[in-house]
Amino acid sequence: MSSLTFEPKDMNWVCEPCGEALELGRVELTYLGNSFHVELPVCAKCGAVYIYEELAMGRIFEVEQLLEDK
Amino acid sequence: MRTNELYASPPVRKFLGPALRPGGERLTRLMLELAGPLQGALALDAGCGCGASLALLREHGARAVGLDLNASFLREAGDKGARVAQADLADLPLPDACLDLVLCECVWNLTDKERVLAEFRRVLRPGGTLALADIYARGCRSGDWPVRCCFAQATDLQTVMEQVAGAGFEIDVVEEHTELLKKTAADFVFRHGSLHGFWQAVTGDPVLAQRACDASRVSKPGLFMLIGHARKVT
Repeated sequence: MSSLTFEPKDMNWVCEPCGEALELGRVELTYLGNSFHVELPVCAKCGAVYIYEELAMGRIFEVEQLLEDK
Repeated sequence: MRTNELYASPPVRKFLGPALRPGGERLTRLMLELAGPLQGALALDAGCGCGASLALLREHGARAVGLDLNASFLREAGDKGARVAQADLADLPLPDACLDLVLCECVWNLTDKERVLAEFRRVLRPGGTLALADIYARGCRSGDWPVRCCFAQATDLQTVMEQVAGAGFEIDVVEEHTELLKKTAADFVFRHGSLHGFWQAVTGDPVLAQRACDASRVSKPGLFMLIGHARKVT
């Protein structure tokens, strides 16, 4: 199954500690024993992942609620 | 193309693939391990869909046949070399006491449940195995579902066990696997933006999608697996 790609409207993000431009990369999100493979902006140098607000407050929040049985 | 049947809808088929149910192959493999030695066993996949479990039954050495009402699914299963036929599970075209195993996954809730259990009991030899997996309602009631789906006739687990025992089965194992259902739902949220978005993709209608979300909140669907054997008549 292919990964889902979550790209912010503006991809012009730089990792502050590394100075590297973020690029889309494969990420494994895990919560309560469940894994989800997605593509998100990632710093190629240190591996930091950028989860933009709309994704965090939307899909990710709803997934957390669902897995927590709320 | 919109459909009033959840399991046949494009968003579900595209994501779940040939298994057509939450839990997929993982739950089926667990059920078949618990069902006991299957080498040479004559097994029925009741509601076989596209034949995913028929392949697993053959892998375990069973002589497996599949029945389903959906002609399109049966064609797919037949194209893979499976032995299948179109039939109503409430009126099985099989003689009494001819089977060692009946496997029924996320189909029972779509049927005349007590008639189907009676048919399963009829076609199983005394001591034969029933392997049943489906949705149950963890909440106060089953909810008002706008599409034909395995959630709509789901009952609480106590009622499931009473119905299975009442049909002439001894229950050996009942297990709760709701985490597999929640994972499937979470994958749909990631794909469609929200559960409402998923149901809108299935139904094509935001009002029906909201009804499905409301029904889900009320019924709190869970996933059970049950292994039993046909009680011997003394």
